[in-house]
Amino acid sequence: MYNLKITIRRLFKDKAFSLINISGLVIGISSFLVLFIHVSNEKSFDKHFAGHENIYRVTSVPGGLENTAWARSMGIVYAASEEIPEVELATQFTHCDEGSIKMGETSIAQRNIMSVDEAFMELFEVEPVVGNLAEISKPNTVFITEDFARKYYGNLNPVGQSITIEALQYTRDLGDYEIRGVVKNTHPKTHFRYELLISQKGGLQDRFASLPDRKIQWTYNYFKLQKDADPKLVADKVTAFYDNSSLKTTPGPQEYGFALFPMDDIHLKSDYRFELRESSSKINIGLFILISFVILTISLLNFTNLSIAKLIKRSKELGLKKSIGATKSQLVQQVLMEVILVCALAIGISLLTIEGLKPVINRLFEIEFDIDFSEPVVYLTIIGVLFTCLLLTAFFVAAFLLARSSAIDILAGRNNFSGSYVLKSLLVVQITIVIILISGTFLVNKQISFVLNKPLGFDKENVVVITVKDFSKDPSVFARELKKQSAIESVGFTQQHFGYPAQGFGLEGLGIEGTAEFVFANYDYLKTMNIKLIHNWIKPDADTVRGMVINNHLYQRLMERHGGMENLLAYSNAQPLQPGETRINYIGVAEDFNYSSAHESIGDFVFWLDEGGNRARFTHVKINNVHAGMEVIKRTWDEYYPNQELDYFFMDEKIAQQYKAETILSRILFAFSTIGILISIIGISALALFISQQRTKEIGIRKVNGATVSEILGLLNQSFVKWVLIAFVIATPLAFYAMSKWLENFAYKTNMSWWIFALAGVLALVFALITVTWHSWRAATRNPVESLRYE
Amino acid sequence: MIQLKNIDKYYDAKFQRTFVLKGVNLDINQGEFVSIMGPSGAGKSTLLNIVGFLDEPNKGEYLFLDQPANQLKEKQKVQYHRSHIGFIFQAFHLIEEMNVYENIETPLVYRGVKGKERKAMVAEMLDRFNIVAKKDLFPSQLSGGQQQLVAIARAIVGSPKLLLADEPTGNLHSEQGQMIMELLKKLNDEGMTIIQVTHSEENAKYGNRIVRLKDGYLKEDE
Repeated sequence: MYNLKITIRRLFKDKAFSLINISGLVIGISSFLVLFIHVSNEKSFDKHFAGHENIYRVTSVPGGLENTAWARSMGIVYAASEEIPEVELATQFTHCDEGSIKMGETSIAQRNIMSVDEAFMELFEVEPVVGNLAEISKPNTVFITEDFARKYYGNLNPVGQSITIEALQYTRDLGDYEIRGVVKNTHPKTHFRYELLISQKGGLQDRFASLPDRKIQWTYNYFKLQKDADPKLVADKVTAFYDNSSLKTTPGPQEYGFALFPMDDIHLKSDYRFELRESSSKINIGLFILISFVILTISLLNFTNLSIAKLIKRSKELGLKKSIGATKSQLVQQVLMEVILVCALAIGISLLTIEGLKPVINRLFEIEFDIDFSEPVVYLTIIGVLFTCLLLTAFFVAAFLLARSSAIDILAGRNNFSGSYVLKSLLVVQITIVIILISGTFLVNKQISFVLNKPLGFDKENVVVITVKDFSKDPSVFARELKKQSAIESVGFTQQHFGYPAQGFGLEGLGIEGTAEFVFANYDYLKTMNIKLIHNWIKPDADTVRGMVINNHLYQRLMERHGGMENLLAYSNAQPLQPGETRINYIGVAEDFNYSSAHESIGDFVFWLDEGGNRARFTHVKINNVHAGMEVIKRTWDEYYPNQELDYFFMDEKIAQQYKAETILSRILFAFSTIGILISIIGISALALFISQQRTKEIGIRKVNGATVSEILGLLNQSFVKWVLIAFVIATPLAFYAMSKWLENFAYKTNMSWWIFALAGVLALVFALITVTWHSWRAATRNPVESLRYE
Repeated sequence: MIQLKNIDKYYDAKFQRTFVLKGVNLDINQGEFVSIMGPSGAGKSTLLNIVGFLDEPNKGEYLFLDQPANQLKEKQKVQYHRSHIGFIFQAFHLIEEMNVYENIETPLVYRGVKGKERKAMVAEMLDRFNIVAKKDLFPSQLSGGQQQLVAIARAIVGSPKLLLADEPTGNLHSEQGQMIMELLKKLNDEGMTIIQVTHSEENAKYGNRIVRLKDGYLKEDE
């Protein structure tokens, strides 16, 4: 109590210092908590399911497409589960990101429709509010979530009402589904979301029944294994089941790799195509943890540094207390009491700050951040911060201030900052971290602009992609109407747009191993996307361009194998033809382009060009003027498809989305290196102030003896320049190593230029010098008479 | 009470040893008022600090209350600081963040005196030095003489047997200095042993014995 009163008085007496010290710590703790809680939120995905560690997702990946694996798998996986004793429970389900449903007379777009079975309800702990979940096994039943019920039925009882499913991703007109119950909303930390759970019986029955005999990957398959079962062994058993089935010999890729991916890892590590919900990639989580600790370290160092500097300034008082009978432990207690008080204040303010900043943080970083004050991380952080601050300060006080110097040394003020190696090294560590942060930010930005501006091999600008769902009308008429307008340059059709998972095309029939990515499109699509043909064997007089265009990568591989086109044709013509297959007609070779993102390198790619079919699913429109073009598209759409919603996106935005993780990462890095720099400036600034105060007398004497202001500035700045240089030497190799590690995640990487490090070093120096000069200037321009009297 | 036998105090520089005190012998009895005099750098303050356990001699023997000081543990030294020895300094050394009352109270807090008792003891001091009205003021609001008064009050609040004063009037003008010296004299009359370091012959006369130091040697003992 006695110390407390004095401590509070002292805090208020030196307001500027207290403010600096507390705010540095507040910034550090808040940043740490925000990042760390976000990370632990991300990590807790799916961990609420009982036995989550035994649940796996089974994937079936065609040979050669390991880099572009799908989360979906073939129906045979589900069939295999019955033969494998280790599988405790198996479920297969489909997920439609956006379908269309009809209630009464109104059609609406509905997200997250899943067709599920009873095992799904059990495995993923679907909680009924009303109704019996077993009824999902009955034909054409549907369970709706509470949100859905509230939105469309309000207070009415939805059970017994019916919903017409007009279209899912690949199927149309499933008929009427009767609402048999209401379930709780999907747990927010689950790697998928559902709003409608529909039965696999009835409308979808035939499709599900045919799955085991088809090589399509439409469903998601999950196994819950027995406690000690080896997932690898189970995967081998699935592979064996496939290898012995008749499915293997049907058309399409022959070799499939089956694997069990732990559900616990899905949210953090999955980069599968058709992932159920956007996942956070692993590298970002790691970086987040790293950054959060770095920021916390900086701020703790800063706090300790300032506290020690302050203590040195106050050492006289400690010496005096010693002379009037205070024991060492009493003095240490007093100092620690002050540290605790300041820390506690900082922690309290941090928690309030976080609560206040929550909406801003979520908007800026596009994350779903929420703090639960009962979470262990919160109080662990509080304990950690207190502990570290106390320990560091106590260590310093005990080791340097009290033990070494006799009371009389302290009283005579024979301790000064310039002698303390502890402070110097703390400062150097702080500057080192700042340099690493700055250079890291530069590099991440450089890499992101590199991948965003990298020539992809096609034009992404001014391309509007329209999703066509209604194939009862001929989309080519719609396309012709569009093309008549001057704002439209061209219109092309494709079944899969860039970035959307392509299909697999087994290359065994061409004499080489692997699987190519395979896309249905029409010739105008290549023109719209400005994909150049290196070889063009299209007959100029052909009415419809029909045949196969392969990319240069695949072409080179084929030429390597066969030597020339004639040999290739001879080889593939010699292959037996399966019923329903036609001979491949090669009509061109396209320049290489990036189908998905610069995370992956270019692989084998095939366009199957023709007109008709479902090719118009994604209609690509190249416009020469965004405003007029969109106007025309909307008008034409409304004329041709009245009462249907126009669903479209811009190609360049879609591609930019692929780098969302990196963009957010760069934003976070930028924000937090700014914070790091800010804290360090606070630290350097306070230290500069102490030094100039401590040398006030010296400055006065020098001035009386004829030193100019600039000479004194130089004198005071000198030591800081030295520390920045030392920090630079330490930081550069560390930063270089960390960044090369990070760049390994990309197939196409920017080079690590020397200027990144130089600029980071120079910036750190400039920040330090500006801060120091400001304080030195004030000390140096003081009237020497005044500063000499200062003693 | 105090016996110094052949005390050496020196600092080692690279190639030479600088003696601050050399072969100092001094006996001080209870109730004496000793003034240590000498030019700057003679070792006066060092001698005082050794006597007050703020510094240690390099050689020689120091008996405090017939106890050899070099065998004292840190804990016992603290005990002596608490109950036997009071300090006053030329620069007062009051704690800036504490008001007059709290400054005087501090040694009692360290000594573990109970709150009520503490209050009484501090009140007695305030009363005695006529500074009751100033008890809520901070050192920066007081004149030098008043500050030194507070410092003395702080030094003697625990009624020590020995009061060590390092140029107590050095930072004061003559009138205030005189007042402080009168006070010390009075304390001595009440039985407190006092050792003061001073430059002023006039102040030295307040004591009953003068010790002169020059270049580390004890020159004269009247």
